Amino acid sequence: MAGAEVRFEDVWKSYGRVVALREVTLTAQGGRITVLLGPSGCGKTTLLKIAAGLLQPDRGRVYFNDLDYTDVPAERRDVGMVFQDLALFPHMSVFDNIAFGLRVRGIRGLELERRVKEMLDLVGLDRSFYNRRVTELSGGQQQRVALARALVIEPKVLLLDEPLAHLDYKVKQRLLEEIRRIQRSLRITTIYVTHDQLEAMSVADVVAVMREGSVVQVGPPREVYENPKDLYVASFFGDANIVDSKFAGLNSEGLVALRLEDVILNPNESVDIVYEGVVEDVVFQGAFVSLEVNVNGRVLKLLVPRRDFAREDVSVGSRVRVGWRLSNVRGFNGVMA
Amino acid sequence: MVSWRSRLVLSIAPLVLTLATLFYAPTLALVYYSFYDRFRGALTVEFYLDVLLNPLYANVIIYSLNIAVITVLATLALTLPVAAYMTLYSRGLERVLLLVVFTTPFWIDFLLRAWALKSLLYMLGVREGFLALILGMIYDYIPFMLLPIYASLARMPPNIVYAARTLGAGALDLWARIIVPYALPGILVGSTLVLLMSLTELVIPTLLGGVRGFTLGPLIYTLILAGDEWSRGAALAIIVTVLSVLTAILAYRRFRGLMF
Repeated sequence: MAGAEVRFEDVWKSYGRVVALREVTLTAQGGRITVLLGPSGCGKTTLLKIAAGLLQPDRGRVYFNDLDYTDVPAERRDVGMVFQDLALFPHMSVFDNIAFGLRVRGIRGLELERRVKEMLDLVGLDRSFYNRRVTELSGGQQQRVALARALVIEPKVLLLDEPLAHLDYKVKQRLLEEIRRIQRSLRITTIYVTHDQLEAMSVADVVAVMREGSVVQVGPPREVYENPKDLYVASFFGDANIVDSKFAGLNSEGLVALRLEDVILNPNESVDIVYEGVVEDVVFQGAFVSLEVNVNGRVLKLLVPRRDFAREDVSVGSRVRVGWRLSNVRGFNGVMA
Repeated sequence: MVSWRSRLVLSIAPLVLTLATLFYAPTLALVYYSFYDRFRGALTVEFYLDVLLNPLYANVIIYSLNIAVITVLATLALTLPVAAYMTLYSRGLERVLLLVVFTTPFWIDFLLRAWALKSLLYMLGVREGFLALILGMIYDYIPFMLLPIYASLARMPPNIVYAARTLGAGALDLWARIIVPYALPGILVGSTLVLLMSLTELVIPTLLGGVRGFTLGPLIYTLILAGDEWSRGAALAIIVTVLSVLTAILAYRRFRGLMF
């Protein structure tokens, strides 16, 4: 089930006077997971629906493997979609939900059974689930049914709209792994919409950061994280301290970003810039400790690994030093370290 | 200090008294009259037998049933697409407006509307008769079919149609596999309601039916109020009531499992 490449060319979409998408040009590579990441209202779900054929763009074209699919309606596009609210058919059993796409295509009998059962195995649901009502299942189980339903028709593209939005943390982690595993084994082109940057980082081959209808930056997660194009990407994908470049130690104007983990507490290793400050807040967050340090009126946020924090005797009110390397300062628009 | 319970009892007492005197007492009186032969001063079942065995009454009953069934089917055919449109394509303001458009006329007294309809039909050249009767019945019972179906369809999660479409469902599949199953509880409720109510409808057949307007409603009316045949009229009314209640109970029992 290799996937088709989905290409958006200059796509525009408006709802009345609100422009939901402006000039979006993006390629979702065949066989890869492309994540559309952005806050609510940035247009990511609209773009997904255009990929599905549920919405038509006002301007621009959509190509599947270089074939113009812009005017092809959803029911003929051969895409599998998982919705945020799952949209399982409550009046049908698990089996019937998954079988729906096959039945609609005229597949029945033994082949129908075989394919549905195959899919149930793939998503990790056993025989006891076949005849259960979907309304009786847990969130995680329903999510698996929704995935199975979308994949059983062997679509060209898999579209996921915030599929893990309503799930518990642990269930979310597990399903994230499952989705990766399934996608890897089927090698199906996947477009995944989310506002959660951690989800994006866990699952994406390529992440497209969106804002107010436009795609701001596209690239593999690590690249976008380490080289954000602008302030927005720097603070949306990962977290950063936004300070002026002179304060950060650069000989230039403008604002720069310092990732929280790049600000070192009481550094003894080589850093280029050091300041003294007072600790204003300490929050234990498991693997990390989050600190707020006031340096001459500016509040910097740090993320200190738990082990390193344990070595220091730091609490609210302590005087500490903070420092960073110039090479970790992220400048934009020509502001260089 | 008056207890909570006594206050509750006192607050429902007026309603209970009203129902008891204006509804249940007359109904009991009706039952009594259906067994009581005024002329011989004795209780008898002969009126029930007469009504059940007399072919004249049977014809009227069958005729009324035909009209009721036609009304059910016609209102169903008209309201199902509208309800589907309202729930699937309409949002917010448009949906509310449509709901208003289809229900506010029925705030006006139905006798006035029946007369208005009659004048309108006259202008279109339709005189009292079968066509006018059917049109009037359909017009009068649309909300009773529309609202239950709309309520059933409104439960549909918004993305269900999207999901079905991405899975390849065309219009036919959408209707057969998604819309109708969801609407079914409403269809059944609406159909039962319209069937039973239109069976004994009085105003429309009288005003718009002309010579073709002699259905159960006018028959009972004639027997009791015009023809002084209280006992036969009462017997007929009781029979129809009992059958209607039984039908409603059976329909509810039979189709309760469809609710999801």
